[in-house]
Amino acid sequence: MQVKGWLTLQRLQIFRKSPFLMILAYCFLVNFNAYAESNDDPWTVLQKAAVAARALSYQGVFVCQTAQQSKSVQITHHFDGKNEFARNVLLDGSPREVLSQGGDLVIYNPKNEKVVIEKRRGQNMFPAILPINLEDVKASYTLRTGGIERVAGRQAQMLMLEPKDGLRYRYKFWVDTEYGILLKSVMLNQRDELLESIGFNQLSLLNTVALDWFKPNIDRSKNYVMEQEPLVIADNNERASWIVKGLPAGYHKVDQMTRMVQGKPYPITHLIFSDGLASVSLFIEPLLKGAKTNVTLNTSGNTSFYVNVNSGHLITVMGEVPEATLVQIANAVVFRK
Amino acid sequence: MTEQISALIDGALDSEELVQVLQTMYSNKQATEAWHYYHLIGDAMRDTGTLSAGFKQDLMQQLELEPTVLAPNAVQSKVEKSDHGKTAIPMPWSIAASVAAITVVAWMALQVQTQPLENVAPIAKVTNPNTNMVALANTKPAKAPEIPAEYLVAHQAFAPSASSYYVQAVSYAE
Repeated sequence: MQVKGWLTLQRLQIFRKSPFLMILAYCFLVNFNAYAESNDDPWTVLQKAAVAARALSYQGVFVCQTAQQSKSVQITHHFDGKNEFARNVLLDGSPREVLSQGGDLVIYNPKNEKVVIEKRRGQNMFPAILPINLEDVKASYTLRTGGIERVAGRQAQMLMLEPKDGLRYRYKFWVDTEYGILLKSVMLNQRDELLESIGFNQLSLLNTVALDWFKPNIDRSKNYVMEQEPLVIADNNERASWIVKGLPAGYHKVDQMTRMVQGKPYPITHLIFSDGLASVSLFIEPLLKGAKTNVTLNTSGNTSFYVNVNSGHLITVMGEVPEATLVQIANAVVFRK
Repeated sequence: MTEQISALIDGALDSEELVQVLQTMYSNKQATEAWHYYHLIGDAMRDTGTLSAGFKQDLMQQLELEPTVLAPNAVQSKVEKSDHGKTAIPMPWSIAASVAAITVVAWMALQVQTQPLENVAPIAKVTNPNTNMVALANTKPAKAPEIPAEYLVAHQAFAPSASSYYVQAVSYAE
């Protein structure tokens, strides 16, 4: 498919997702503006940050750092009262671009002579990494107020989000005291090692309502191709030979699908669990006869993974959570006799 | 197999494959021969002088006769001391002693780190110093298994973490 694929996508999906949430969010923001200054409840500050990231129009440069890599990203974000538009351009390495409209997200990923267009689910892009509804987060984490620190040349309130148990990581947030927006987010493991850090170097509010920037930078010498999308079918778990019970505290299933995975001849069941912030993927597939499988538990960067065999099925679990959580989630899969 | 041996010489194998290939080579005469031939071809192409027949046996014998040296410094200081005592010992001798000491230590290191490589590693060392370094580098303790890329791609597409939009898995191959 050529470049106009993006436009088609826009037209098709523009009204699919209800803008209601956004309007609601906007109302929240207006309300918060009135008294947030005087209100010291850290959850209120965090709630405001979740809304501000979506309901403000801004541009800036942030740095995303993990154990393996560090990338600078230029972001332009616009909210017109109904819809959210964002363009993220990677400034380091390959000039990848991420364009999102509401929850629909498209990545323009240059690979050699081609630019591959990938569709993704956009749900927690910085600075909107916090969900609007913080109830799940409140159930599993406690929030403490830290000091006032300077980030990206701006005054920021530091907040510490501590897990109530060892089943999730710790976070630190820096929230702009004037705009209410998240300026920086850091994820730390139990040993206080930095797993992921994303923070603005520079941020300013956007005054224009024009959307002329909301398009990818097209390289005419390259061929634009749609990524080979794996076949994904929604799965309501009616015919499954297994059930999930006894999930670790705070985690619940958010999605389930049957999908093809590259290199596997048969469809695989993919389940997604979340505690409101961290996500875990669980894959169930029948084990091929004679296949050799080692039970593996390991962490690479900020992603842990666990492979196990259960009643003739291969169970693969991965996510940005401690290893113990993965083992508990894998063990929650029970096969019917 | 021959392809893998070629990859081994180029240092292009990961640690898991490496162990497998070395084990095969240890038990498979053909594979060991291939290893020798490839080095011979490489030497011919690089115009490296060939070694006399039976060089390996001679070298191993010489090494057997060498005293066990625990640290090259000890030998060097001994040499220096004797230099002070009898200045008559010519310079080339002390160089030769140092070279011998380094050879022994390197050989011992190889002995410890690559048990199945006993017969092969010293040859690699003599014929091509680069290969030797690669062999050593590759015999580090096996690297932790990587996350299966196909699952990671699925995970990041449907349950992305905040950094996964920008810092992508190696499998995306930029």
